[in-house]
Amino acid sequence: MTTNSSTQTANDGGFNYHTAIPVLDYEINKVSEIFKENPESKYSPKIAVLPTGICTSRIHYVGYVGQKRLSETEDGDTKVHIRCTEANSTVNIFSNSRFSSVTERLADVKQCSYISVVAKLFLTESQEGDTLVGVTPEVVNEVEQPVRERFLFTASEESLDRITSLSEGIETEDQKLAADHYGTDQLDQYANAVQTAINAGIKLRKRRVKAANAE
Amino acid sequence: MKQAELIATKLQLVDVDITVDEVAELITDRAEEFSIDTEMATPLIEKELIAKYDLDLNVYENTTATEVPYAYIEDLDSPDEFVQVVAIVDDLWEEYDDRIQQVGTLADSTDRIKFTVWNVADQPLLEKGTVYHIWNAVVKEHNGKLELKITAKSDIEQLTGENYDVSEYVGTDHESTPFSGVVTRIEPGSGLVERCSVDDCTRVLKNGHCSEHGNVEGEDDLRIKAIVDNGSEYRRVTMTTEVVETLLGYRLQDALSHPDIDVDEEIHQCLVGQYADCMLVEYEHNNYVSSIELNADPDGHGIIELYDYADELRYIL
Repeated sequence: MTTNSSTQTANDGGFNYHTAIPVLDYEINKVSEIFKENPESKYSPKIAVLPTGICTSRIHYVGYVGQKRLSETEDGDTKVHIRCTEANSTVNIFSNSRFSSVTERLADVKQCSYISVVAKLFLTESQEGDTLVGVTPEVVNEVEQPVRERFLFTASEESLDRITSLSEGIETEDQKLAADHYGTDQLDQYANAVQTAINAGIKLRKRRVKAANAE
Repeated sequence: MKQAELIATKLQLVDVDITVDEVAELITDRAEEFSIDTEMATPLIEKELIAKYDLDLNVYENTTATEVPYAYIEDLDSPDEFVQVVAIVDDLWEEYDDRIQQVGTLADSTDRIKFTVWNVADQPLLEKGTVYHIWNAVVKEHNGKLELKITAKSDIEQLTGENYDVSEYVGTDHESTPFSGVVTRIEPGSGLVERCSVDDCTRVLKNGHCSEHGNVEGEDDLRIKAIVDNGSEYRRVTMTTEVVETLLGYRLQDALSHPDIDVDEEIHQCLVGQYADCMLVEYEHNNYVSSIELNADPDGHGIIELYDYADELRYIL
């Protein structure tokens, strides 16, 4: 099956690199289909089907650290759960014991800061038994507010392109998978979410420019 | 007659209306008149013409610069050749020799070259990031590499942004292309590295070993190899010393003399997950970053258009 049909992947330098799709919180939390590219291979990447019509093994997300919880696994490893709070939703970021240096960075992240992550998506269950989308970073860095602003605009632009393309008809394998799994009757909800994100970006930017002018 | 051509060109440059043939005729006439050869007659005619047209000798002499060929840096290949270049002072290095006024690199749209200004040249100080038109610089070979020497005979004119697009000279190639995206990965072999010290070999050593020259002495360097990803495409990029120094805000020497500086960590904090607007130059299948801007403010108009489009789409769907 062909995935990532509209993104660049390459096997150079001895490893595959798949581009990281910028995805807004609303869409991250709507993901409910993740499959293994090659079910027989242990190392095959897991591919998330995004409702706006693209399949990807890697996303980019920048969020505001609302809550951070550290705990310990049975093996004594540190486990980090960060909740990036958005206007209407929360993005759940979890450390993975396989990436110890990323876990350390996540553990050091300051509350009320912004983080930029390149991450995999996975499905888990909340304490209430609901399906929850988890974000596992491969890399993480604490960043300044303008990075969050640019993310909101960039991810919005990319999302709008995907929504437009899907609304015009199904042409790629990725779009077919998305349409089969999620349908295309709720695309207006995604456009709505994009507008919310752009609004949030504009507000942040205004506040920042105002503060800079006041100084 | 080459001399006649030179004189005519110089006179034309100071707005004297004279042709090569006219100058040649004057030289031949004078040679015949005094029964001397044309070579001896040439300076006499030159002086006479300067007097006849009441020329400022300084201005006239400065036009000698036009005799030397205008060259792009990548075309410089003949040692001891005098050239004129238009280039930006790309970098200034710390000078270790009291006799040297300034040393650094000049760049134009084709390449970079080391330059040296000796104290005896009595030239003004050049400023980093400024574009200069330099006449009568001489190409020299040092340790097998070409460099440009600015001497007392050289003329330097500072060009302002009004006359020239400075950014044109910041790149190292006409073919530099913009690429923007998120830095998603810093690759192994980034940070402080050691390069092979054998002439013209710049391979990065692995445990003191060059893949071409075996165990050799290493020369310290700073570089970054990273992936810049815009969601649909990515570029594997290389940042060389100058770019890394600018990003980190300190020099290679500072990093070496302060072992407490954690260069790898600073590279991570500076770049990972950040938006990078790069100018890239492709050379031997590598993408070299000639300039980079991090987290530039998004375009305000673009945002409003985006919002309006989302609004429209919401109602259509």
